[in-house]
Amino acid sequence: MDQVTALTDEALLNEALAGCEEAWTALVDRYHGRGFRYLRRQIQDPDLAQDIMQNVWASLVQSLSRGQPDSFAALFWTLLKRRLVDELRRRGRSREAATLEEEAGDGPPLLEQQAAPTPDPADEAVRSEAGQILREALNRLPDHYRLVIVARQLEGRSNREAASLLVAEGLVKPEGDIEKRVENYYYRGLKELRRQLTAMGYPGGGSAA
Amino acid sequence: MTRPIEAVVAEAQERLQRDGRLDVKAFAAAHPEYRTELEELLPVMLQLEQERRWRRAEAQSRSFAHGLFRQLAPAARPTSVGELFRREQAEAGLTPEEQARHSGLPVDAIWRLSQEETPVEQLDNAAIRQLASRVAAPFTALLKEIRRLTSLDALTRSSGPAAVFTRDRETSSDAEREALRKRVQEAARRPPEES
Repeated sequence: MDQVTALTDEALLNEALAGCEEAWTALVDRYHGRGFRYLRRQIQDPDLAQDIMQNVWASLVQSLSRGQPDSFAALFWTLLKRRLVDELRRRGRSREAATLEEEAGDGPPLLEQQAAPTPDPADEAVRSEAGQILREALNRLPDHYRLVIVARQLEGRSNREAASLLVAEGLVKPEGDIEKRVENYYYRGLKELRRQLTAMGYPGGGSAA
Repeated sequence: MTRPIEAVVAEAQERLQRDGRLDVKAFAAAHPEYRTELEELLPVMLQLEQERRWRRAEAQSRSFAHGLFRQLAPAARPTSVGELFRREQAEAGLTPEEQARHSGLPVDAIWRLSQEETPVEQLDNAAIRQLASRVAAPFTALLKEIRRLTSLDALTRSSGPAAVFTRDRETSSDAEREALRKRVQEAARRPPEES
């Protein structure tokens, strides 16, 4: 896989078009996260972001069936920008759409730069992102609190499954009512998470989404 | 007897997980003994839920994009010359003798072409000239036949709502594509024009 990910976009695309699924997966993974992070900064609704991204990829594959682009990156970001602007206009957010078009006047590279995969810590836009702050706050929690919150809330697991994970990770001994302990860790973890968010200067300790 | 706060928070979390939303003010008001604490903690829970929705949306759209390979690959997988000839024999029900008669190619050449593994994408005029020499076929007839078969191949293998570009024309609906495919197949059954 390392060999595949070291290839240029164009080389990956050629491999994918020749029938290499691994190359296609690598190409998708190279752009999808960046595109999604970019959308997340522009819109509030994850379902809408999902629709836009799926639409972008479907259009991109459709476009590839008509011939290879000069630049895969340019094609991806152009399609993404176009879908986003269309969606903003459709929702009556014409001013934001116009601003976005104006900001992205130089085309895809600027957009790509905004959604760089390794954000600079000094980048205010990234630092202010709710999800990024939440992830940082979660990382500061003790392991047993973090495991329970992630399992219960982010992964939608049951108390029993979270209890099994706690045991499997060696964070509790397999004795007593472990599911009760999951409830307790969840509550305490939530309190600690709020404390961390407040300490990180997040107003209201998480009241903003 | 007052329920412990852990149980109340767990109930809020279960409700949020089940309904996908939670009215913080109403829930806190229903538990006045913990009202202040719930008003502090539940917004954090809502933010976690929002994060869960983002993660799910990201994962699902990524999975969707990965799955598009199934649409990308069949259209792009190299087809060999042999596949083109064999496919028409199977789909149009033509024997090699009929194929030979319609195309103006010798029967022996049809047999050899049906086994030819050269990818169609690699064929330019020079390569077709070499191929014609190798299978002992007239260059012009072979060129014409390969062009016709690749057009038919592009039509047959295309799917979905996308416009389909062939070397000869463009069509944008399933009905048009099917009609065009039939026309090409009928043309394949007709005797070749005298040249």
